[in-house]
Amino acid sequence: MIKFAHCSHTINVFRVITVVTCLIASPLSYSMPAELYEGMIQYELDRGNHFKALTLMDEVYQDTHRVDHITALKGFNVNSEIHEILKKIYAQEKNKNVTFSSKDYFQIGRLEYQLGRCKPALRAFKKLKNKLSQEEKQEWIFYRANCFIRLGSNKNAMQVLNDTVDGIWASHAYYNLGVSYDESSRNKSKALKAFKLAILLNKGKTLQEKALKNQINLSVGSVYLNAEKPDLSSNFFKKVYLDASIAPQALYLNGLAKLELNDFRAATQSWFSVKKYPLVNQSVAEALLAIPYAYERSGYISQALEAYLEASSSFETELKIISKVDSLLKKYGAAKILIEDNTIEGLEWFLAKDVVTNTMKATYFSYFMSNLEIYNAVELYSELKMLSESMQFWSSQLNVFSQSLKDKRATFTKKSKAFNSTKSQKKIVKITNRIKEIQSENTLSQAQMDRLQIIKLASSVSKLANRLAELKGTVTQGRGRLKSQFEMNKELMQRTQTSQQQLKVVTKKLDVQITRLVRDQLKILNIQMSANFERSEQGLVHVFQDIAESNKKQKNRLDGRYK
Amino acid sequence: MHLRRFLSFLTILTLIAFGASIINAAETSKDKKKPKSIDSALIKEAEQLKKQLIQLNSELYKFEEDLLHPANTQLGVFLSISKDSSFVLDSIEIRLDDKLVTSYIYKENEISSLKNGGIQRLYLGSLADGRHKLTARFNGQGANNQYFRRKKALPFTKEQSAKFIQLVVTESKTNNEPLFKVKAW
Repeated sequence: MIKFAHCSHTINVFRVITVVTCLIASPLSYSMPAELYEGMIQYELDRGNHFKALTLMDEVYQDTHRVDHITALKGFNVNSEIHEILKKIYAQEKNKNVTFSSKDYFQIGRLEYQLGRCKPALRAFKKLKNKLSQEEKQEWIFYRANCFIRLGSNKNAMQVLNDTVDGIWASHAYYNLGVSYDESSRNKSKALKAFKLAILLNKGKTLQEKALKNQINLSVGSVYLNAEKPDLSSNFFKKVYLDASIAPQALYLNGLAKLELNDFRAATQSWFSVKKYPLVNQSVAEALLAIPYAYERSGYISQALEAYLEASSSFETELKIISKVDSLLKKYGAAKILIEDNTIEGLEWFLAKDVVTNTMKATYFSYFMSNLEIYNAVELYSELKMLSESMQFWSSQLNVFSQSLKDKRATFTKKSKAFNSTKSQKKIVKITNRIKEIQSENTLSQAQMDRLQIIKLASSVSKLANRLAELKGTVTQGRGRLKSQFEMNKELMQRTQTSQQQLKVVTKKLDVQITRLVRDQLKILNIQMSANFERSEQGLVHVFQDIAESNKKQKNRLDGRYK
Repeated sequence: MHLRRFLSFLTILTLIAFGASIINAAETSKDKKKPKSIDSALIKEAEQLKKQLIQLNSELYKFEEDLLHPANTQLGVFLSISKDSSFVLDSIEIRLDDKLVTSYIYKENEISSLKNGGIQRLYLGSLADGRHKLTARFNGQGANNQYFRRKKALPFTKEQSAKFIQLVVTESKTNNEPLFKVKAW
């Protein structure tokens, strides 16, 4: 009788093979088809995840896709290598080693523009051959026009913009051209024309479009006000949305326009509405000082005095807040007070956050962020924090891997012990011999042989013998592979911990420097606020002096509101 | 006297408002004031550290992949969208042998990146050799704002090497209906 007990053994052998081959797989370096690998990098680059794109790029990719590499480096603010890579790109282009696509040239132009190098940017933009999409064309026009403006050629910028399409980029370009005309010429007609075109091209639907539209309206209003056309300027100031960050400026300037028109009531109304905005904005302070001035000019002396007192009190309060914020910054540092989400007992009045943007912290944060140096430093701080979080994640992952490797080692030892290759070999030989015997004995008819699938069985046993031979090698390699994975895990863990320490040191140093910058900025605000306070006090004195020096007796001099 | 002071401030305001935007469209909110800056040595140190961490992260990702999904058991599922497709993908669900393995909800910029030639790795896992079935369910809106919910199934055989499956969203040129294709690598 033929025994088929070897079948279960066969399954066991395959199970061991699966476990062992999982362990001995060769290390990966993103071993996927190039099209998929490159597509993955493009996906991350395009959606602005530059850090992920950089981690995906291996050395070969970096060398063969230099434009992508510098795009990602610039995006993650790693600028030190960019110039060197750009030199290599230009050398490749000169020697005609590599063909660059229109997309590459567009990217090079954009990078050069961001690096403030307009001439190479324009050269790169000139090399575009393919048709651009509508959005890319807008961007292309914007960069080229701005480059010409930077290079001092408004005429060329205007020519570039003749080829314009609508949208926010074109609107921005016209706006910048308007600014440039305004600064470079006494004749404001060209500036106004550019501003008006900027408004026409702006749909004002998205947040950015709305913000730009506000900015354009403020600028047009300012140009008209400077040109002594207050009536026209007021029309544009009124178009600035009240929730815009520049609303205090617009309201204050609108008040000035009304003052020019001798409409004191309207001027005061406009300045009154500025009072609801934070005082760190100088326009608010100016409005507070302008209100009593308007009252004074209207002959409402008592109200002027009240308004000066109110202004003084507001400036005094703000000075106290500035002093408190400064002492907090000195004690806790900018990171704890401004950047990170913290709860420090007793400081809820400052640290409180809300969905609204007019909290104390938000006000001061916005004020500090208007300084480019502080903005860049905080951006760097955030990037380092993100890296720190990433290291924390990997640290915990590596701990899990370590445990998993230990389990794998135990399973592997157990399975490899259970797997006796000599015994299995003997069994295979025995089964092979038995099959051969059956085949040679001629005791079974052909039909019986077919039913028992003897030939198929012989073939599968032969395959099994081959896999067993392979398995012997893989079991030996598997041990080594497991060991190397253990070592790799340990090494990565060590490097992760070292990096975490380094990040801690650098972020601390950066915090110290940000704190210094912020406190310097606060000093400027303090000086400004003190000056405002002095101006309001002087205003008070001036009113009193006027009253004292007045020879005429007037009824209700101190109560003008009832006149 | 007061008016003159106001007007001088007006000039300052105008300059601030104008100056910011000329630098860059994206930099309108940044001021030109530069009291002091961060030490360049610290910036260099931070940049060096960033480079080091990019490298370390890259190695960590590769190690994780090597450990959890070795090449011989690896299955990767990818998604791409053709540039001319007007289909707006809202979400996708991937089932492997009728078991949900991943799902994803898309943002506008992700769809735009995919249409620009980007490829998203939707799923990376390990799979035993043999026959399997991959099912992808696409939810989104087509050319005429018609809501689509389409299922695409692919039976495949996993052998002793990594398997990569790419889901491709294209559009029919005749009726503008979205087409969902599968490409096995």
